[in-house]
Amino acid sequence: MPQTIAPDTIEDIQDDTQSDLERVWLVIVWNDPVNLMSYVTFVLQKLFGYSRDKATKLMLQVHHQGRAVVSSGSREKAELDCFRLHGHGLWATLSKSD
Amino acid sequence: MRHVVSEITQVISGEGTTDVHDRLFPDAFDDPEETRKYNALVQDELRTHKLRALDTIRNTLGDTGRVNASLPPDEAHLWLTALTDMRLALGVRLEVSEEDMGREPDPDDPNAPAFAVLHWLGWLQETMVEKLDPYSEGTDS
Repeated sequence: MPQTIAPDTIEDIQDDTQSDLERVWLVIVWNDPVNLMSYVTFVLQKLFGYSRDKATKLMLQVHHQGRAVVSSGSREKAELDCFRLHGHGLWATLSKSD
Repeated sequence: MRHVVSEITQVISGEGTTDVHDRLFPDAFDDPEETRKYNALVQDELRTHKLRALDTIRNTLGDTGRVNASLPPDEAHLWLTALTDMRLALGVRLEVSEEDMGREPDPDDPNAPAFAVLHWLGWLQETMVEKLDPYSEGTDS
């Protein structure tokens, strides 16, 4: 139990805020049995401007390994990417990078 | 097809937490509280987008159900979105696996008609994906 609670608490909040802002967020797409491989490739090209080769590689990673990191960045950017993927029916989640 | 469109429209319009709804609006975070906050920010817009896509199909089909073979690119992009949601919803209801999707439907299976619709919508989607340029600006993103 700290003897002076207030300063410690403030320090903790500052640390959390800072690390959250600096931390990179990952946008992960998960495999699902319904979406067509061609459609997943198409969506990755469309939303992120990836070449057909890059989009195909990511799609195959999703297909064979069950998931792939398709984009990353600030929390705000990652949330927007996730939103757009959900808008296109892909199963996407967000997680903080280590 | 119009039947599937109207069914999915009801699922998306509703506030329920059916399995289909959960697949169309997946949890973005592991943490339920983070997901709740995220949904509060985006779910209305996501719902509007999905309903607009379904409306586009409904409007193209019209009363006769006959489809004009030529669609402007922005409408074609919305078609793809709606076809995806329709297929995902059918897939959840049928509890399909990768193996199911690779098999010819068994004609004796009571779900065979629904599987046939799922595959037909997939064929239609594949055909559209081949024809559309992913880098041309659809207005739905």
